[in-house]
Amino acid sequence: MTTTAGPSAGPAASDVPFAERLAGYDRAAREAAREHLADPDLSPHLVEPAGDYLARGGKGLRPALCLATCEAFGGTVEDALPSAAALELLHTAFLVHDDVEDDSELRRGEPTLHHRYGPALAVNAGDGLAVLALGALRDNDRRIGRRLSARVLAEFDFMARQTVDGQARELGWQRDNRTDLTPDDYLDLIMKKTCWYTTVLPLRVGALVGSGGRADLEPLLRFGFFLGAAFQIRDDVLNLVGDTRRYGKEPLGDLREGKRTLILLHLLAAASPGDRDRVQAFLALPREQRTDGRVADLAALVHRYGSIAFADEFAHGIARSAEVSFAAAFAEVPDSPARRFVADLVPFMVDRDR
Amino acid sequence: MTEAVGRLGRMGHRVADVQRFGLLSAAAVVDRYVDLVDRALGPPALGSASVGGDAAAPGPDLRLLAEATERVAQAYVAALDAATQLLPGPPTVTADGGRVALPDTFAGGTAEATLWLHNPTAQAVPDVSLAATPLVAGAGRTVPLALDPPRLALLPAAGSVPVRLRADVPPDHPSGPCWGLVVCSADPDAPVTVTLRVAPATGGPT
Repeated sequence: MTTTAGPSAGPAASDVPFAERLAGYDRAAREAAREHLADPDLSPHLVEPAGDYLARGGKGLRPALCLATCEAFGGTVEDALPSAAALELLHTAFLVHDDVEDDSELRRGEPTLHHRYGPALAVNAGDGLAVLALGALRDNDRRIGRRLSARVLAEFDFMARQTVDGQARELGWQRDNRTDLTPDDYLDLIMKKTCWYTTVLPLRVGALVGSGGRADLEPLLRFGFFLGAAFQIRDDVLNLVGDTRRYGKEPLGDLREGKRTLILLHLLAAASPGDRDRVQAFLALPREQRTDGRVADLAALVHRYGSIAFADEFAHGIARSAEVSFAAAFAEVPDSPARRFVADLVPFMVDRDR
Repeated sequence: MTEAVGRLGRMGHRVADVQRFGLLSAAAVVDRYVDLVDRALGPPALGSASVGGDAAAPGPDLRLLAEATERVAQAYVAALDAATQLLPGPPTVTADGGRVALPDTFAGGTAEATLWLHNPTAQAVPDVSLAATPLVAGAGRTVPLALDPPRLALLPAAGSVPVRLRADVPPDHPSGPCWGLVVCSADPDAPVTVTLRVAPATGGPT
């Protein structure tokens, strides 16, 4: 495959505003990912659904974090592009399967893949995207050498195990109707199901590649977790209060699905015994009986008991930790546009409205 | 988010305690993963060569950097304390005081205190429940916090009810401070902060 010039290319790179820089990283990673679908031997029944979400345009945070971190640690966008493409492909695969598992209706403001193509083609497209991600990682051998490439693959392997394990835990909690969970359980869950592939891996792989394997990765684990956790809790809050047109998913979807978010855990802890019984009765209902009216009743309880305010403040504490831990993780990294971009990503991710 | 802002205004200084609890809870989780990742992947130590190279060279001292990160986090907590003027309270306080400090204990010991729930209104409050988070500590550890009773049929008008808090510290628990929250359905906007200090084995409770 060929590489695509990203935001580091060109003489004016240091003057690029944040949004433009983010779009540039996103475009570079997305194009690199789409090249893996450009095989004429592949069936259109795979290529079309597998390319659908990639064409819709997400926020592009994950590849941007990976590519910018690589640049900040001394590498180039091209060095980390195979990893960023693999990340984008794997992320898209997770989204496809996640939407099927949750029977979600909207993704990025349009019908989910299984609603558009049917569940069989959607699930297969998700499988295909995961397989193509492996191919993208093989490109690392040529670009960064076999040893470093092997280490990057080990990072991806560990991340993927964490992610699917986290997803299994969440689905299991819902199936078993667990209502005895603590904030510690929730944080452990989102470390696995969200943080690894959203923030921790992009940071660690970007630093590994950019530094030629010399970077200390532990501070990046801390920074990545704090950033990813604040990001996920913000996502949980937006699902309840966000503008659907900007947020791009169906409102109150998490409540309808009975997801064990920090908000729901707070409600279960703070509600009076009578109200808690109502919440538990809702969670025990099969999905088809969770009507709009019942979901609205649950949302009203969430508001009445201050569960959103609690989650918001809880996330604020973690977001401040992200700012502090960024300074530690990038302490040895000289100032550069890429370093400043990563610093700017912190408020962008934790204070977002979409 | 107007509603959230309004509620937080009523929560007053307890906002800082929820933020602190979030920070410390997250720090406890990430501490657990540091060891896990070290075991699974180890340090990179791939070398000093530039991109594309395969040579080997040692990385920086991980332990020193981890301790530096801890100090930065502690500095943030200290700044939060100073900003909100939250000082440790006595072993037994009222719920509207917002804080319960369990007496210091050793690893393997038990700490108990009473949390008083006051109802200053002229109306009784029926059907009140309480829930406690585990107390979060450093190195990814937690201490379970038990409430007795966890549920009240009635909180009488202009009356007070004691609730016993009990923390059984595991025998291998490291020394240091622990933090948790108790939420009451009668006043969900004002979680009560519970603190405990696990004393070093050689020192003893103070």
